[in-house]
Amino acid sequence: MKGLLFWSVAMLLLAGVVHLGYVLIMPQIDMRAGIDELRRLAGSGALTVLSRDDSIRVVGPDGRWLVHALCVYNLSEGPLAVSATVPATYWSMAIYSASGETFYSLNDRQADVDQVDLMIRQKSAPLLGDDQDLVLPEGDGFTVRAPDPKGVVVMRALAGEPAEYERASRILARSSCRSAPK
Amino acid sequence: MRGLLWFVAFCFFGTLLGLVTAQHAVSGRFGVVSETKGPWIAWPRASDAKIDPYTRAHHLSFGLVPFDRFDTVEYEARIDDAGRSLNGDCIYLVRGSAPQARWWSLSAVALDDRTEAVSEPRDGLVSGQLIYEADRNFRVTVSRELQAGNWLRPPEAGQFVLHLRLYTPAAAVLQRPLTVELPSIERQVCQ
Repeated sequence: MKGLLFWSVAMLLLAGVVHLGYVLIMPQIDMRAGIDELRRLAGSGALTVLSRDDSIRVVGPDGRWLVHALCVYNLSEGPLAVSATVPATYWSMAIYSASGETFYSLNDRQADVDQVDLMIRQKSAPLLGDDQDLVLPEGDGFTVRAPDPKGVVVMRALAGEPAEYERASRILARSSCRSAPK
Repeated sequence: MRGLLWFVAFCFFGTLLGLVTAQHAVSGRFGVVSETKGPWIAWPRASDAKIDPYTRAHHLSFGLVPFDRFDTVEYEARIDDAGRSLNGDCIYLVRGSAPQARWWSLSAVALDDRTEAVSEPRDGLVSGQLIYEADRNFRVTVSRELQAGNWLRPPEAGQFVLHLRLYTPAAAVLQRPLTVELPSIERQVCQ
């Protein structure tokens, strides 16, 4: 009876550890594997506009009407300058860290512009205080501080029809993503 | 020998229990941090700056790149209005009013298809392509067979999941996703 109780409690403790490990660690492993896959698909340190098939592969059915442009980066080689040309229709930009954190997001309603310039720099020390420290003005654009050296910039533009898809792809293709001086 | 058996059983059942409960919590079946409204499941804290680990794990479980959680609200339905699992052998009528969002999409993917790697041209619909009724309500027929009007084709085999995604929704919807009126899912006939 004592043995059964011991092993039952031990089993519950093990289940708890496995449960927490799955919830806390697996998503990060998935995201890092996803970024490796994106690097194979879109290269690294440059902005690549995905084909419709690749967009579907990357995000599922919504990739059929969302043009995707990706820039997989590694800030250990220096900061990254992103200059994004955006269409007049819906667009959004999100920056994900390799650990799966969405640390920056912008859409056409928040920024009524046709060009977005930003610099991504690695956060040098643990963030203290307000998250607003993550985004700072710099020159004509602004700087975003990344929590991880590796990550991906994802731009999305809406294209409901095949002709719009080509047009939105051409506009996003004018964007750039390149290493900047430290 | 008996101690070894206990140890093997302990490892097997402990790991199994941990994995099953974690997968159910992350997928929203346990409702740890997800909430339901009719057949729809939503993660109300997905757009919070400090996201909880379950919502985060769920958010990262679809596709190679997750949707932008600060710009997009996602709802999932695995059951119809009567609580029966969505099955590709049945025909469903999804109807409701146009959600308060810049644009939105409705797609059907196989259950637990984490990558959503599908390419059927009718497995998803976007709001701009829909035919609306005079009062801006819409009706979508989910069926493997071609249907008149708005038609969504579910995956070939077995159970499936409907994803409703609202892009740039009203701020109130982003903060409280379950305050929005969500479409009904009525089963019509099954083969």
